[in-house]
Amino acid sequence: MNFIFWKRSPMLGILLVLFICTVPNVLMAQTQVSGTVMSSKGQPIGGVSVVVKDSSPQIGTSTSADGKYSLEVPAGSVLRFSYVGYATLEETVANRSQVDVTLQEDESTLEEVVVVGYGTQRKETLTGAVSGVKGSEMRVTKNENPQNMLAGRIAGVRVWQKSAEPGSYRANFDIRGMGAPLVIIDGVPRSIEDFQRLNPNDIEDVSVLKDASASIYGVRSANGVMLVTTKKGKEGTVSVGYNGSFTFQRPSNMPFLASAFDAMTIYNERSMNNINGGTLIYTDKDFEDYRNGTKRSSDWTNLVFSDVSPQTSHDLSVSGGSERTQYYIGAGYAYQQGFFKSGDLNYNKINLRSNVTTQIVNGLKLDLNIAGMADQQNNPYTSAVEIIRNYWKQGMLFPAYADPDNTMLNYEGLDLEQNSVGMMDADISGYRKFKKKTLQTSASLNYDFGTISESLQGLSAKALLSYDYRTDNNSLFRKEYYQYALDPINQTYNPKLYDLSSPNRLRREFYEKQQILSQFTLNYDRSFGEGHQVGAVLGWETQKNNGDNFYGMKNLAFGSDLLLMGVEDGQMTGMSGNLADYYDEAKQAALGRLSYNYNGRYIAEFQFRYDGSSRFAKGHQWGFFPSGSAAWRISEEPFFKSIEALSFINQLKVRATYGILGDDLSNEWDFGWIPGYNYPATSGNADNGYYNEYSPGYVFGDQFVTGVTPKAIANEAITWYRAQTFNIGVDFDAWDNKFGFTLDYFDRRRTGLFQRRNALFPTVIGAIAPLENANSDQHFGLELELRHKNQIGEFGYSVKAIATITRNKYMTAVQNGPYKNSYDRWRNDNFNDRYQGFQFGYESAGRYTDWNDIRTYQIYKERDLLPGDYKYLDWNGDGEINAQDEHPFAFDQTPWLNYSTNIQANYKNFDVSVLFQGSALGSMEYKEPLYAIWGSNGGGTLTQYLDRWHPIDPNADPYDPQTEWIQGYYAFTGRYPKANSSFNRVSTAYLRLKSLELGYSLPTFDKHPNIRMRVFANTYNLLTFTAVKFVDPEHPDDDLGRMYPLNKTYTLGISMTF
Amino acid sequence: MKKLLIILALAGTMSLNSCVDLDIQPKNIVTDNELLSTPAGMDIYLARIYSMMPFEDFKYMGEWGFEYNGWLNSIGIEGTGEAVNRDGITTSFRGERTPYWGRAFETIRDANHLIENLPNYKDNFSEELYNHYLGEAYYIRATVFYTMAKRFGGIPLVTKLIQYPGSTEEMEVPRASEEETWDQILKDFDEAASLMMPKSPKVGYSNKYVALAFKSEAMLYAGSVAKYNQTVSGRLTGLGRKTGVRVIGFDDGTWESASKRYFTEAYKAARDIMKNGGYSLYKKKWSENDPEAQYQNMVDMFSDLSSPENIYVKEYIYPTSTHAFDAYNLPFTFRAPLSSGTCPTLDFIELFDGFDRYPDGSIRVTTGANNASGNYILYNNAADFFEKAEPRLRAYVIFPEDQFRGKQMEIRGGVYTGNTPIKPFFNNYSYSTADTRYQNLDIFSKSPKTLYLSPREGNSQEIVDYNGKQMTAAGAEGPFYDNGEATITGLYLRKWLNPSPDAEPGEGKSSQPFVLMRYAEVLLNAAEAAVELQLAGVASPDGSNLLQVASDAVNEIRERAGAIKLSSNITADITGRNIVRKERRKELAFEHKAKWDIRRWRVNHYEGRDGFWGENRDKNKFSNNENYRFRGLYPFFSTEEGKYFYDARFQWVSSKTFGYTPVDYYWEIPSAEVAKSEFIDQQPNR
Repeated sequence: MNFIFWKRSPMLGILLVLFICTVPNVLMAQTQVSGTVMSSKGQPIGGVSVVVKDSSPQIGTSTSADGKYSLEVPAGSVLRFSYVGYATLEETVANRSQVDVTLQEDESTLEEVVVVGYGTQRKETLTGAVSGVKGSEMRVTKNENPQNMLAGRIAGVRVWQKSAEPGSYRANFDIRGMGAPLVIIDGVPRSIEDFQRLNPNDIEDVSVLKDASASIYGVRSANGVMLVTTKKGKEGTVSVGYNGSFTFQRPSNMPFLASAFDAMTIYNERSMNNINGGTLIYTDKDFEDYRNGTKRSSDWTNLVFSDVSPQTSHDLSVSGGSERTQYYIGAGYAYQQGFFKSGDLNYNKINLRSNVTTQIVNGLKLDLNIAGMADQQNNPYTSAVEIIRNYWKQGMLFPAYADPDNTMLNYEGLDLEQNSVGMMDADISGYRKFKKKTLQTSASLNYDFGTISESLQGLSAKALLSYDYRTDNNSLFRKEYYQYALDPINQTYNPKLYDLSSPNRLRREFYEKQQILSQFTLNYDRSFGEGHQVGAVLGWETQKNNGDNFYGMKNLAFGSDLLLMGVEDGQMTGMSGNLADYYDEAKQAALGRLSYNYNGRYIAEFQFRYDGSSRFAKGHQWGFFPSGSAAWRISEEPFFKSIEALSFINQLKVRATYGILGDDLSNEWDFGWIPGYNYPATSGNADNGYYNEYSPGYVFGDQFVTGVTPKAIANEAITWYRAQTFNIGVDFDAWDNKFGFTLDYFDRRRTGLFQRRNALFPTVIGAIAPLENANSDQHFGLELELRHKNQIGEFGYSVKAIATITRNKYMTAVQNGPYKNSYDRWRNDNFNDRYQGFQFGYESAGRYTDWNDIRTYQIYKERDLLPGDYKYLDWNGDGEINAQDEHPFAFDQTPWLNYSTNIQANYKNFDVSVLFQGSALGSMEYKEPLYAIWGSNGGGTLTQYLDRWHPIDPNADPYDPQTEWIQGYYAFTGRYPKANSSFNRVSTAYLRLKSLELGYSLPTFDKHPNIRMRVFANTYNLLTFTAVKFVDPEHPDDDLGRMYPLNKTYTLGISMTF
Repeated sequence: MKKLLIILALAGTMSLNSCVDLDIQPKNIVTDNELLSTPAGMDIYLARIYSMMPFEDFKYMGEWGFEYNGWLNSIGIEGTGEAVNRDGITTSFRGERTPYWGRAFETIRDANHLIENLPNYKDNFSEELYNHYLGEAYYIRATVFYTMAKRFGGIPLVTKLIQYPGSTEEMEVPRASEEETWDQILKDFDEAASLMMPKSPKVGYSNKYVALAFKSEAMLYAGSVAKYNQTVSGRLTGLGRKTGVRVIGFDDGTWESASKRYFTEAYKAARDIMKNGGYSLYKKKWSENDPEAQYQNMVDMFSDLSSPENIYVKEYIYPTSTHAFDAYNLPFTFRAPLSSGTCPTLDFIELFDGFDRYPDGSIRVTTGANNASGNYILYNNAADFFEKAEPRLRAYVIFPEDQFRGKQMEIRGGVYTGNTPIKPFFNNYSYSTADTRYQNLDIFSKSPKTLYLSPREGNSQEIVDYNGKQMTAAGAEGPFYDNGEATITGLYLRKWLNPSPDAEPGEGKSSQPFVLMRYAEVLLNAAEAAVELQLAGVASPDGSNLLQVASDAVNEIRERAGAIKLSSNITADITGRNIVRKERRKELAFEHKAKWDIRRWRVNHYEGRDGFWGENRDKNKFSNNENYRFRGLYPFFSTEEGKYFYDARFQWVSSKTFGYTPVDYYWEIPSAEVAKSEFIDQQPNR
């Protein structure tokens, strides 16, 4: 019984340890114990160390190849089973002579090795804030995007999925709220887009450098670094793995349209909402006409959206190798379909990867990584946002088809004649296809000088060369189509060309990007004398990136999507001059690290990078980015070890880092040190002759001459901005991993952020103020990780809870102002002296519940109030609600607090994994279609608007005090709360069951012990608890809330290895 | 062997790792050396400036200002009475959403940059061309100053390139007085005219006469403002709070001489063009006593790039540089996907001859003394109402049942099935009852129903049996009472629309040119300046008989328009002046001119509103103390008689009201600009 208490309560555990330690040895007698040690997968494990705990001299043995052992032990002994890669297990022998145990594989023991910049380190001796996650742990969340798999997995890593639109990968991703991190995949800087498109099954692990330990990445390190390592082969027999899954997707909270009758009722209400006498728009006859079919409506929801949308993935991998050569080869295919019924919004992706390691000669190793990716995002010609917007706006009162047989698309009564059914169908209206192909290669040679001479042991040199290539090949095909309307006199259907679909037109776009990177590093790692360990890295790195592109466009002779069949009319070629599409850049750096470790007790580290970037003017290109860090493992101190009462502590470490990091990334980078002009000037809607945009040129002599855009006034001294980053943390583990925590405080202060001094730049100059290193800001916060792990017989489980809170504010912001007075400043300067993201507005003071409440409520009121109307807090107490009552009352969209809990458990062949994830300190505003009925002719009537205050009698005058009311969420139709009030800007705090996976490992066949198979069921975003109504709390108010929704998914899958 | 291999491998990778060059210039950045040294480079430099010029054309709307954006573009809808639009974009011209301030200084900088830097490249060009380019810079600066002065009064006169960083004194320029501002505009136009070639070196460039034409327009504005500010209850002048400069209006001691000076300059510039410019009115198809030819002539003239009347034209080229004026303004059945953005008003029609009138001068639709009395006059065809209408009006406006793009325009407010004769639908047509609409009438909503109206097109039309057949209540072109996307006044615009039946409608499909300055305006500028000079007792600057010049100009225009010529010469009084003003409103309608004319005449606020039309009219007919509104002309069909009749009613579908106060004659300086600078003054009356 004892051990059960032991497992359950750490405190009892302490007592027990103390008890066992102090039991005198007099009672001991010898018994013979034997047994078998098995893995959780039912395989016997050989070589497991089996010792009697606290025996002196040590009594112990190890298991044979078939996992068997036998040992003479004193009575009352506790056996300790330990083996690399497995969690250590203790079993009380009691009176048994047969003790069979199952060891759990353990990937997060303290001996774990983590990837850091230009090397690896043992986790226990880390000095920086570095966290990681194993690929296998990530993969428990099933999603097409590895980014979303990271949600809630790593302390400090914030993932905010905005939409589940296939292939669009819309997610915000940062470390501690610091901005887009640098992404390093297998030692080479790559992009977040590359990470998004990785085959999740190829990922070995991901680790993030969250503090000044990133400084070895110099000018790109200020926002932290994410290091991704892909799988490598292991020595041994060939292992083939297959994973396959099938997923159903449903929208995660998507507002749908109410019926035609509801729409007419709501529109009538809105029209009745007039204190000077309202009118009914739709009469009883209109209702009757829809009822008896004189007027036709369509169920647009069913025509536009599918009930479920499929998603599949298949992966195959082969790995293995000899002593000299190991390989991992993985291939993956993924397919995702969108929610539109046409199925024309979809995405597919193929990945192929080959990672080979071979020893050429003794001491010289070659690593060759080649990865290819090809994907294709298929969209209808009209974007998903526009289709959803149009579906909401048009409403149900007009049919999708002009004829009752549903063969001719209708245009009559549809705003701008836009028919969502035609717009979502590529066969009708054309398509946009985005094809991307990437090739990522790297080869590295690693030479271990230790093979030459004993004195050179620990010294190695590595040379790496990497070449990446990416192309984008897009086709945008607009197809002409006709829509119809019934002529009520002749009863004929008159076709009309849908104007925006004409003429047939094809646009092809081609982009290519490449990167060449070379690294040369010397590594040194050696122990001297009594516990002195020295490590050093010295390296040189160069990088060249360039991007190029062009496009061609033609109107088409026929409706076929071939540029070849284009006509001269509408012919256009050009290219994009955007910094992201057209560039030529180089970087160069020297880097180094020196670390010293005394007995695993005192650890100090110094890192630097001397970095040069072609983004700046000569003389301002190079910068030095140093950092230092130290850790003290108190638990390794002799005095600490000597205190028996503290022996339950496995690890207690305090650590701190400080460093200067840099950043040259800027969305509006304009090469501000060069004076002159950008040529050509550009503007939107060039395809249609800029008819609704600025035309960036002028017609001279019957030719259109494209102009220049004058650049901002030049500032030669512009250079990167600096981030001074400080982090202090504690790592604690006790009771053999039954409890542990990590707590970090971080503080990053950036200076020299790019900004224009618009506040003081006189407008009469007539130019754009130069970009200067002018602003500064601060990010700081706390990060906590709690760990618990336990094994009760065959039931094992682990719990990991993490939370991060970040705040940031400007220290200086020069762009705004000056202000007329201190109120003006307080009201309009959201940058200085205020944390980022505060929203001004009105707070709720409840609702007017009835006429009496309206009459007696002590505030100045308009005369047209109705029961159900919104009350606002009279914040300044002047008896009136006006702009002076606006005050900071909510956060912005970005949630500043993120937390999650990850529970994993297994029992026999069953395993379950649960991830709860959530955020707080954020808010969103309902906009246009989500704020009010947004449309005409019955459009915009979402079902949510039916939950409103309204008279029982729909024809009653709402202003008649005799009218009886039904309560609802909204006020009476047509009465909306102030947009910037707490009625309409709501907290996006949520807690959701992000992922739930249930797995079952099939028993192995005796004849084929190598074949293992696991089946699993998984859900994503199954349950969400939030105050946000109608849309997903992560669904932002970007695109005015019309963005493609997030999804809930249900997956069935299988994984096999043999 | 092994060591050699290792050394080779390491050396190889080391060499790959050699230095890269960090000095990389982005490729899409060019400098003055490339732009200012050749005519091709100058094309590009000037293309930038001209793309930012404050031209009020198809990509400008009064409500929004210079956003260089053709979205929803409609014309004459700024409360001038020319037309109305269903949307919020039809509002009084009391300011612009995007004030012309920041962009103005960018264009001024571009001009000043050219003035200061082109001399470095003088040897690259012939003297004539070099001077012309300099002249363009002055012309551009004058145009920007003029555009700002019309809006704000006195403005910061930035006449040199300001360096940054610099001291506050070097970098800031306060607003000059309004008089200094107009004097600078005059100076810059004169400088431009003296430097530029008499013919543009390329179509799209300016020239001497372009500068003179706009100078005459600008000086007419300046002269009017100096004079008519005095008529606005003494409020329209004042000193800036920060600088004490007279940033709006004129000093009591100088307004009169300034006004005379500016009218003189306006007159001289216009006369110079008339005598030496070689321009003439467009009469390619014109034929005397042939209204059809005269109408067609005036339709053609706006799209004929070879017209001798064109002084300055902004061209478009499909598909590179287009607009969407057709898409937003074609009649309803051509909608693609919008339509009917410019609906001319009855008030505008009333400016023209060729209609029967009531004693008060308004157009007659009933047999009584006003449109609330008598019976409706019946017409066999709706078009008969316009039988004698001036050809010019027909070239500007599409009447019910007239032809457009080879199609008869079926415009019909509704169908009346009651007995004849028909009494007016409403017993009150005054301003105060404007919001009572046809669908509120008992004959529509109650039994027995005799009035049929349609809320929308197509299936939503009410259907009436007539002669054994069915007919829709509203015509194919509306108006529809629940859909403002058809005409809302009973009339459609014809001017500027592409008349070809083959022309594709749709956004980005239009490339008609916009005539920003034409000879007819020069004639009218000369006429107005002449009358004003005569009224002020100034001797003729060129020795001509001022009133003869004015009368000839008006007659020349009327003859081309197919209108009735003056019976006698214009006289030196308000009546004479109003003849010129009214002719200007008619001739230059839908050209973004009228909104400035009624502003400079200071007739947009209530007390001045009697003179709003360019002639005297009772302001209480169309306005109350605060607001005013315009009327439509709605054809109805009587099934009893099989004939049409018209009802003249305040605009019915999506009704619009307008307002104006004297403060609106000088717009607010953007408040952020005032807050930001120690020098920039807000208007003293705000």
